[in-house]
Amino acid sequence: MELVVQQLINAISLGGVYALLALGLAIVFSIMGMVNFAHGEIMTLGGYAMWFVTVQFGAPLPIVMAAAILTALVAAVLMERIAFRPVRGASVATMLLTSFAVSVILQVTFQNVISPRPRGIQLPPEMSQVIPILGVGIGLIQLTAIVLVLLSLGAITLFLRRTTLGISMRAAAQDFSVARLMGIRADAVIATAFAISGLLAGVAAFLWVAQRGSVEPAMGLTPVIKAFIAAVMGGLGSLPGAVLGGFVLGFVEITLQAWLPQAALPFKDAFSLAIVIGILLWRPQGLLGRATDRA
Amino acid sequence: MAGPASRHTDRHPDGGHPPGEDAPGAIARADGPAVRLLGRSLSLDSPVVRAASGATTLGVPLILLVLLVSVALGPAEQQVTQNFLVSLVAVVGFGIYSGNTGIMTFGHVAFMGIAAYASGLLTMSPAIKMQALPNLLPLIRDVQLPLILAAIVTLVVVALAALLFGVPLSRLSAAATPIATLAMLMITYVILVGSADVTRGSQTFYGVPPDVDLVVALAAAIGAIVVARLFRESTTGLRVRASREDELAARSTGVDVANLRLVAWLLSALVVGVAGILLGHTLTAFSPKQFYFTLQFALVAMLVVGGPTTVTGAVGGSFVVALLMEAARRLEGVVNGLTIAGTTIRGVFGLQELTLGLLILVVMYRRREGLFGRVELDELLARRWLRSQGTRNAVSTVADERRHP
Repeated sequence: MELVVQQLINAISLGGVYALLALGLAIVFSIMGMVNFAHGEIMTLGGYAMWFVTVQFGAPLPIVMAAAILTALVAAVLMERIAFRPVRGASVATMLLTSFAVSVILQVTFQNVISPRPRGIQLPPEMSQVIPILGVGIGLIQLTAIVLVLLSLGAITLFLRRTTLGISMRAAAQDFSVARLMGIRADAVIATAFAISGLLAGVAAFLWVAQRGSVEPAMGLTPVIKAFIAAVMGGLGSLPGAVLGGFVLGFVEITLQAWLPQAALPFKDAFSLAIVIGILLWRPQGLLGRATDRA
Repeated sequence: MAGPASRHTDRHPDGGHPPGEDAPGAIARADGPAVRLLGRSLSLDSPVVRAASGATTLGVPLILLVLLVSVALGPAEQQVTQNFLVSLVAVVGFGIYSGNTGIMTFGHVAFMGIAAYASGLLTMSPAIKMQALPNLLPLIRDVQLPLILAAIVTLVVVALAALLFGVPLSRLSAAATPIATLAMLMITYVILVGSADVTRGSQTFYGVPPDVDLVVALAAAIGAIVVARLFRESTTGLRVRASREDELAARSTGVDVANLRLVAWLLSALVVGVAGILLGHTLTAFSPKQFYFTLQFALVAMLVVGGPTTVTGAVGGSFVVALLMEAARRLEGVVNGLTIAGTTIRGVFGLQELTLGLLILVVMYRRREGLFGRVELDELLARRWLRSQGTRNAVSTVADERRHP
C-alpha cells in the first residue's frame, strides 16, 4: 500500500512537470499553430538562471525559483519577438523548422558560452527531506512539485476564465481571424501565449533541476519531446488534453519503472512511447482532441 | 476541378489533379486506351520519360563530380564525396515522404539505424561476431551474406518497421505527425541501445565489411533519384502532392490521403534504408548515437535548404549543406588552437550545427520554398528551351507549366 502511494506521488510529480510543459506548448500551438521545438531551450535557460543565482549569490530558494520563472518568461517572449515574428502565419512546417533551428542555435550557444558539461546546483539540504504523511514517507521535492503544479494549473485556469485577456486568448485559440475581427489584438494575445508558456517552462525547469541537481545544454530536449508527445496524446491544441496527456505519460512511465522486470528496464522509454502510439492508433485526434481537425 | 466524375479517380489516371498543380496535357485523350497509353509513354507526360530526363539532368553532374574527385583529389576528399552521396540518398528518400506530403518528419534516421545494424549483422564474418557479440542467436551468428542479399533482407526488415510505425502515423493530423516521428526515433534509439546482445548497446559496433565505395554510392544516388522522380510523377505521387497543396480539396476529389501517405512513407523508408546500409558499410564501426538527432538534423537541413518539394531541391540542398558542413568542420579545426593577441582559442563547439541552424533560419525567413524552388531542373531547362524555340503551342507539356505568382 505504502509503495503504491509513493509511486502515485512520483507519478503525479513527474506527470505534473510534463503537464506544465505540454500546456505551454498547447497554448502556443492553439493560438498560432506553431509547434515550438525551442521550448526545451526556454526551460534550459531557466535552469541556467538557477545555477547563476546559486553559484554567484548563494540566493535562497524562493529567489532561485523566481529567477528560473522570470528568465524563462522573458526568454519566451523575446524568442517570439526576435525569431518567430517573421514566420507568423506561415505553414505548420515553416514554423516548426524555424523553432527547430532556434533550438539548435541556442544549444550550441550554451555549449560555447557556458559549458558543454553539466553544471551542478547545490540546493538547500532541506529539499531532500522525507516527510511522513499518514504513515507514508513523501519526499519534500515531490510534494513541492505537486503543490506548484496544482498552483500553476489553477492560476492559468483562473486567468483563462476570469480575465478579459484570458477570455480573448481562448477566443483566439478557437478561431484567430474571427477573434481579430472582434477587436482582439493579435500581438498582445501571442505575446501573452508565449509569456504563459515561458512561465510554465520556468516552473518545470525549477522542479526538473531541483530533482536532478544539474543543468546542461541539452537538458530541455528529452522532457520537452515527452511533453510534445503528451500534448499529441491529449489532442494537439486542446489545453485540458495537454494536461491530461502529461499526467497519463507520467503515470505510464512510473508504472513501467516500478513493474517492468529488471531485464526490460533499458527499454522503458520505448515501451511508454509505444503505449502512446497505441493510444493514437485508437484515437488519432488524441484523448480530448476534436475529431474534425483543421490542421 | 471538382467535377462529379472525379470520384472515380481509379479509372481515370488523369483525374483528381489539384488546382495549382501540374496537370499533364490532354494528348491523345480522345482515342482508345491503347493509343492513349502509347501517347502517354512517348510524350513528356509519361512518368517514365520525366523520371529519366530528371535523373539524367541531376545524374550527369554527379557522375562528373565523382570523376573529378577520384581523378584530381585525395582520399580525404573522396571520403567526403562518398559521405555526401550517402546523405544524398537519405535526403532524396526522406523527401519522397516529406516533400510530396508536405509533412516534416524527424524520424527517418531511425530507418537508417535499423538498416545499418541489420546489414552489418548479415555481412559480418561469424568469427568477428563470435568475439564482439558472444550472446548473439546462433542463427544470426553463423550467417554471412554478400552485400546484395543482405541488402534485400535488410530492406524487408526496414519495410516491416516502417509499416509498424506508419499505420498509426498515417492517421494523425499533419501537425501531430512530426512529433509522433520524434517518438519513433526515440523508440528506435532506445531499442538499439538496449539490445546489447545484438548491437553491443551504446558501445561501438565494429567489423562491418567496407563493401561500399564511391561507385556503389554513386549508383545508389542515381537509383534513388530515379525512384523519387518516378514516384513524384506517378499518379499516386500526383495525388499525394495534391493533398500537400490542399488536403480538404484533395479528399473531396477522391484522394485517399491516409493510405497514399502510407505508400509514400513506405517507399521513403526503403530508400532511406538503402542510405543506412551504405552508411554502415562506409563507416564500418558505429554506435546508435550516430543515428540520432545530429544526423537527423543534418538531413532536415539538407532537404529544407534545397527545397523539399522537388528532387532537384533534395539533391542540390544535400550538395550545398554538405559543402558548408565540410567548410565548417575545417574552420573549427583551424579556429581551435588559433592564437590571437596572446590568447589561444580553445573549445569552440558545434560550428557545423550553428551553420545549419542559421542556414535553416535564413531559408525560412527569405525563401521558404528552398534555394531551388518548386520546379524540377529538367522542367525548368525544357521550359527555357521551348520558350527560346518559340514553339509553345506545338507541345502538350507546356500545360505542365506552373504559373508562379
